[in-house]
Amino acid sequence: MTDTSMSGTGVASASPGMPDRHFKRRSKRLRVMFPYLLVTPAVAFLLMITLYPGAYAIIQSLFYVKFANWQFVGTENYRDLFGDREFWTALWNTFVIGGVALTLECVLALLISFYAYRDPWIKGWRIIFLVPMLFMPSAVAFIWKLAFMDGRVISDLLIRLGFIDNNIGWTSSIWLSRLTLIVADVWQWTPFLFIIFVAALQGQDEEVEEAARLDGAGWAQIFWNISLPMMRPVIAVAVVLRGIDIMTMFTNVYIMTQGTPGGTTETISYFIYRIGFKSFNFGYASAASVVMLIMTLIIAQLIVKRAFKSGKE
Amino acid sequence: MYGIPFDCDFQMVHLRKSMVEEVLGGPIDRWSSVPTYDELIRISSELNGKVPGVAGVGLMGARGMWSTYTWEHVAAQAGMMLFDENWEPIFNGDAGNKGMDTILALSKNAIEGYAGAGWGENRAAWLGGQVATNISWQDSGTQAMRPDQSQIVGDFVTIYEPRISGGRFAPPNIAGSTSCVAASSQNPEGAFLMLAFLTTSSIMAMNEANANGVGPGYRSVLTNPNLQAVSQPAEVMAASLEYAWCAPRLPGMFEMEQVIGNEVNRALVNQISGKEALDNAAAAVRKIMKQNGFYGAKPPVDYASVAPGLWVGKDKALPF
Amino acid sequence: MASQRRKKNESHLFRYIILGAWALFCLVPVLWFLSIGLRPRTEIITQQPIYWPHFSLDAWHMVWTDWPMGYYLRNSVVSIIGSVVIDLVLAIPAAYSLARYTYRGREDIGFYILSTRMMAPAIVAIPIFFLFKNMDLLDTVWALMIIYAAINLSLITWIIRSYMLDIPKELEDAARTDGASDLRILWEIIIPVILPGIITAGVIGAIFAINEFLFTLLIASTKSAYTMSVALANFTGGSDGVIYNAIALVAFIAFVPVFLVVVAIQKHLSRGLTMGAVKG
Repeated sequence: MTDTSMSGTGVASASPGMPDRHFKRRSKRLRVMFPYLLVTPAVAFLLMITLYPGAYAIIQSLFYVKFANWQFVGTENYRDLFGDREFWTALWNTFVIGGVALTLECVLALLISFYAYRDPWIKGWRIIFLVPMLFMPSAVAFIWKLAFMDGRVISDLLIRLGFIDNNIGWTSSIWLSRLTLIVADVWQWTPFLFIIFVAALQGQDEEVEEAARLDGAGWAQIFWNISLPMMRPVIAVAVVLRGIDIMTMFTNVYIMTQGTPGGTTETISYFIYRIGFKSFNFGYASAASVVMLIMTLIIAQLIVKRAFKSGKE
Repeated sequence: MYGIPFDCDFQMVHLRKSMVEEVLGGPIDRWSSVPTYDELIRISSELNGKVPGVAGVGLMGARGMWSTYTWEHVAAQAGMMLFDENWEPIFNGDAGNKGMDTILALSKNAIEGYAGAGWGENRAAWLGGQVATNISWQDSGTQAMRPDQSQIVGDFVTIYEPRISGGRFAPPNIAGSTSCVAASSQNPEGAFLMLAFLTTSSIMAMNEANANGVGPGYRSVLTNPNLQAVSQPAEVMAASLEYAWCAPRLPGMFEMEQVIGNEVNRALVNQISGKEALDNAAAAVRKIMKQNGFYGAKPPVDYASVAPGLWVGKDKALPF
Repeated sequence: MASQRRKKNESHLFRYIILGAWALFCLVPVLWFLSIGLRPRTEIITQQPIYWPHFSLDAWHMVWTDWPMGYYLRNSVVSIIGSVVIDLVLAIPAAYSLARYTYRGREDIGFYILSTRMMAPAIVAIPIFFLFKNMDLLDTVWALMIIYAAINLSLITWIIRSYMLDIPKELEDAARTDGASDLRILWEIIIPVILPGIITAGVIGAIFAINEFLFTLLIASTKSAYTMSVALANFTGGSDGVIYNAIALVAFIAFVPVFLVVVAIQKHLSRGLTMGAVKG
């Protein structure tokens, strides 16, 4: 057991603030400005790295760009984009692959953390379960590329177990190809959710649990009726954070499938990369970026803000 | 000549000697043992799965330029031209579809990973002994001779490109961004030679050539026996050089390669038919050409100036 | 009573089956990948997979002699440490402001900082590429430093903010009545108290920076900026094909220090990974 000193598992709330401070030798103006001054450098830095690219992308999306040669085309890129089968496919793929992977990760992490958190060897389990997360994602992509595709290891094991007769053509089938991406993601990132869930479970009130057990509740009932509701805000935050990363999935696609077969494993990030840096059609890629940016902002407002504030009364 | 090659490769056909000889019932003759792609389809079908873990044929069917090159190179044997004299895409005509049908037939005997195979995957499978025949780039013939990387040292032959019945003899196909050199050169053969030298220049081959006093840029590079001893492709390339063909390097070509290959890949995994793929690609290519200033009063590249480079074999007698 | 005990033993058994199976799922691919790193290249991709290969240090020698691995390591270390330092300098005051003052727009500013974490790298990749190109920073560790700092600033700010919120107000008030200024309080009282939080934030930021792939892929083009993460992918592009045993070894070279550091800060991991939103 660790972290018993930490209180609860609630989501952090904003501070109550500091109304009555004594700024003896300072002017009122400076006192008002002071917190802004503290936060300004960070905000300025982030604005430089987000606002400038945002504006740049919007402008560039109105041009047909061939390296130094910019040719104004108005909203043509956007009209093309909304009529582009590959764009909608990429959106759908991102949603499907990410959704399946995220669901699996969440279920598995809950299951494992449920079995692990009261185990006397929890420290050991935690270190073991952490390992996949600590490899570079590009290395993980190569591990699974070799296991599934180039090295035929998964096929070979399945043949030895008698499930199949021939090597599986992972990259020829839509769902098998997606499966390779999902397995790689689940393997690497279930630990992320596990670590968070297990910490939350460890932080729950043991007395409540004990009382429920004395009332005859089984482990599963306790988990379902007490632990899970208690963990809701934690799950929300963890899933939102994981969801953000999954929706921008790039590395595994780049290394493992490159969108094969026929673009059905191409995520939106890979789509933008491919249009921009393989076809060198920057204006079009920027239009896709702008659309994705708008979607991100909407999701951020609707979901993320709520998840991060859900613990606050 | 304008343009410096920075990525150059020739497609070739490689065979596992022992396996193919067993099917043919005798030693391989480079010119005539596998005269046509139909024969390659037959051989690869017979070899597919004959030895556990060995597929009939390897080909690069991944999205993007890989599929483009694989298809282009076979379709070229059928006489396919990418554009007519007005720069209208015509590669979705009969010849293009013949090439497409051929690679679709080959894909039935292909290694399970062909739809995701670019150069790296194809090379790995070939050197690892996972395929009995292979459509690949010339490095696959040179590197297969290296014992530190290859399982098939001494058990492979690089052959002269098979034809398509009723087509023409059109190897090698210059892939990649190099084609500008050949296509815009008034002396295509000279350009091919330069590329041939550059592309065979796996370090080993280049050192060997230099050590034997062979300067770059001459046909003698490829006919040099010492170079041929370390690189089978050099010999094949030297002999078939006069029939080489290439795709013109035009503004927007990167993008065109991508869209063609993406459509070919969809056909290779049976999402659409070969004809649909080429029709889609032709429509996309036309749009890109238009965006790049073709079909107007003054196209950025004059067709007549690149035409001589598109296929060098014109008016030459076939060697067989 | 006896049946209850049996039931309990059964549930124990079931628990260990689940945990054991997951542990195998986590570790077997890792051990197999390690075996890839320690075998000759000709035994990696074959007709049928080889499970008991010959031992070979080929890849180890190759990594250090054929490739400028020293440069890759240096680039990784310099750009990551630089980015964490930039982030801490920017994040500590920002977090202090967000955690300790009430002012108009605070919530919005906090959420803006948080929201930059959600930005998909692909969205800003193209403009950033041209921005660095115009600044002549392409293929330099400086560009990587700036980009890593930008990626992690939200994370680091929010983690530190979360730790600051935990500090009882009385601690500061005591100092303030002694006449200490706000900056001095930050420097002399707050920072020492939340040092574990700062370290956690730095370590987690460093891990995300090591993992960063897309930007590094676009920015770096030679050994002067290649990092470990992108160097891996680069071992696949050349005419030598994918050199899996070298990739495996490089992956482990990068893994070991990360693993040690993370084990050391284990206790704070869940809090750090959720940007401070989950305590405990």
